[in-house]
Amino acid sequence: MKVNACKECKRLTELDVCESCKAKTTPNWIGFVAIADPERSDVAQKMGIKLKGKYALKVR
Amino acid sequence: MDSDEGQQSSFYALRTTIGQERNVASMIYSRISKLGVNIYSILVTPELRGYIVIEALDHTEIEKSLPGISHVRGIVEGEMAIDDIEKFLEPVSAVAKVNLGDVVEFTSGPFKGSRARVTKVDETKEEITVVLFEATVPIPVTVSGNDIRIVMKEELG
Ligand SMILES: [Zn+2]
Repeated sequence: MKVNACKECKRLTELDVCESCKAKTTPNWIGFVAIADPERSDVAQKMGIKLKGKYALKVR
Repeated sequence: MDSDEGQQSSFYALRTTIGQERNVASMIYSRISKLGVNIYSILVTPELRGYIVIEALDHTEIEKSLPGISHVRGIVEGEMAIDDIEKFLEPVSAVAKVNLGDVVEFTSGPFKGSRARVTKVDETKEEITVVLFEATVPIPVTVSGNDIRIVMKEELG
């Protein structure tokens, strides 16, 4: 199963366009972060993630 | 449990079978809302083989989420410092998308609302150098990618 990451928000998706910000996605990404509680998570705050979900750490 | 803004989260390392880091992370993630455990994020980075990093209220919240999950080899005793985790995090909004010549606008700080042209991008430090349009003398200013937004991309070619 192909998983891509959004070039703008890093959200992981199987689609070629991100559902949340409509940017293009790419298969070139590394790392993984699942955000369960964007308000309480320091990781989400430092990365600027505001929505729950699975993200890449780095997108190239 | 109060949910004040001041409430801290803590970071713990969970040992896993090497190669199963992301599977374990996904399994735990899929249980969080069902079990109602106070786990806030789960991080997997290639630099930490055989470990995942879990951000939670405390380690008992993590323990509650683990029964029945394969490839888990136990929680490492003690908390990780945020400084140890920060180096793995790349802000989403930041510098990666900014290129030389782009026009940006400050979204925070003393120059909020001002526009500037990008003269240097330092991806490793997540910093960019810009020259403000309004300045009489073009002094370069170094800023974080979080303080600006791109207004106009440099035309290619
Ligand atoms: Zn996106």
